[in-house]
Amino acid sequence: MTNITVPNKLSDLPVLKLCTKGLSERTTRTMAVFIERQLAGVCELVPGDLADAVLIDLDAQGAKQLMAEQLEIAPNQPMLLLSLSTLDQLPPNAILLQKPINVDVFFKILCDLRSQVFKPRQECHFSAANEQVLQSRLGRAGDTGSATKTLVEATDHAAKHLNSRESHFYIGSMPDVDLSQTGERAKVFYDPREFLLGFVQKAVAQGLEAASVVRLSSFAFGDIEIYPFARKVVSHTPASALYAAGRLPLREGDVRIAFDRAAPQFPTSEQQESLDEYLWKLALWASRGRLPVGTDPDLPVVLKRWPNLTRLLVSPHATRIAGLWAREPLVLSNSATVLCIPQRYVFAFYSACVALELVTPAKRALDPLLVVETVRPHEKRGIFRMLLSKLVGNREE
Amino acid sequence: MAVYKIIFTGPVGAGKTTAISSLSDIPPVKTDRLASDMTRERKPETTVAMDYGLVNLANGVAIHLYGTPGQERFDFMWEILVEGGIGLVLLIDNTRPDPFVDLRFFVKAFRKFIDQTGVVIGVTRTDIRAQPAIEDYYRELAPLGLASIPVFEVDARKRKDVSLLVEALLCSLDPLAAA
Repeated sequence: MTNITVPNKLSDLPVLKLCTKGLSERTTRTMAVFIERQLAGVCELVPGDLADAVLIDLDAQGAKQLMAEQLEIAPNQPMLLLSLSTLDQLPPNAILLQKPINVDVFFKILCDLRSQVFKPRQECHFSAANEQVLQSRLGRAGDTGSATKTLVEATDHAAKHLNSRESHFYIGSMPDVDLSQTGERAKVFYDPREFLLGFVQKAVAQGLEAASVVRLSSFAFGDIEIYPFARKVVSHTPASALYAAGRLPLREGDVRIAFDRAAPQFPTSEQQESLDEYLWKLALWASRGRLPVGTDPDLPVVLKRWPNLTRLLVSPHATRIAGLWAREPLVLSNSATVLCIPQRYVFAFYSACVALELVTPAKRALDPLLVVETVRPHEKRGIFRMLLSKLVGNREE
Repeated sequence: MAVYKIIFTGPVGAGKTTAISSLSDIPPVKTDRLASDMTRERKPETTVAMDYGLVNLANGVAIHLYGTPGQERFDFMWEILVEGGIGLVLLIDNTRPDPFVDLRFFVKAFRKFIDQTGVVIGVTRTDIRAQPAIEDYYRELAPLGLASIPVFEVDARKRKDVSLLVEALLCSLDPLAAA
């Protein structure tokens, strides 16, 4: 096989981040080397929570379950499915690549997926030539049409997905809710206690009271050691499994909390993670754009201090929401309107801030309420806008 | 054409030169010289004039990044340097014997500029020394009337960290700027 030449028009695009599921460790390593050598700068393997797209081997044991979980936690994330057989029903955001895999087709699909993922949708279409190339490379007249169609559909979905990729992994896709409607209002709440977030918070509280290291155990995430006084966490859970465990409700009986009184050796800095960082991301994942139950969306909130964003998962528009709330108290339900952003971004950011106790309701009658008109445009807003656009790009590189 | 500037300041070795290098679209103009005084203990070279970098935006617009000299004996230049600036990025080296002394010194020195524009604080070298923590900085800033400014841990070598710091500066000045 010869090296694939990446077309010039694609060379400036960001690298497509791909995670794998259902592949053995050895296969994953081999694929990583393969991609590194043949598709450097085009694609790379990353942990699940960092991925733009996921590759699932449907012939692996439990692969159907993996796919179902994937569809549940990230319903719109592009999937590249590898299988020996065809599927009766293919998810709309999936591409099926039948084994034995033609390497050139594999490359082509990854390149196309990348270009769809990172280019504005209107620029994203398969040219007739590309389709012909693909069909000829597939080399199986019987199923080329459907494969190409599937690819086109999937990458179209990928484009949609990436248009909203900022929100996808952490915030979900919950539409704005009319909070004046009682029935609708109930939809915006979740109970942190039902999620891994709540179990970790409970474990921290118990550990502080008992002056002990605490161990959380579950089939969903393995073991998590919490050092409540040092505010450190040690978890050997793969990122993708933790992400899944963080987003889905857990039953009380599924999680075991135990004190580790044998005083285990304090973890090295490579093993440990900041508890704040951990709680923050668990809150974003659990929230999926909703508010912790008990929150009054009509109360103004104040940011006590900015989250240490360089060390946390930065949710969409986090700096803008923080900038707004740090100024003056603002009614939670109005924040999205003021910033012209979807509610879910505000609610997810609020949830994460609550987890770190960074926000407080401004209950005092004297606390002035910020209204849109009071946010006077800065005289250099135009420049700010241009610079912000560039800086956000820097962050995502 | 109007000149837009962001000023980077802080004590010797806090990472001003590095932060500007991380963000600049051009190789930064460095004016480091061999330090001949006490600063040599902290950094073999120190900035005796000023560092300069550039962020290019669309339509030929550019943001100029200026780093102040790290030595206090060059503070006479600071007032000229900040003229027309958008805001201040204050970098504090967490490994200094008392970083809060530096914090208070630089806030005082740039107070007028901070009140007219805005400030963000990047605490550097926290990987070497974790204390004081970010919460401690907020406790120090509260009596100075700066409890609501962004304070982040920053690795000046990381573009992402420096970008986020400047982004927070802009969003604290005008949260609706990107709307």
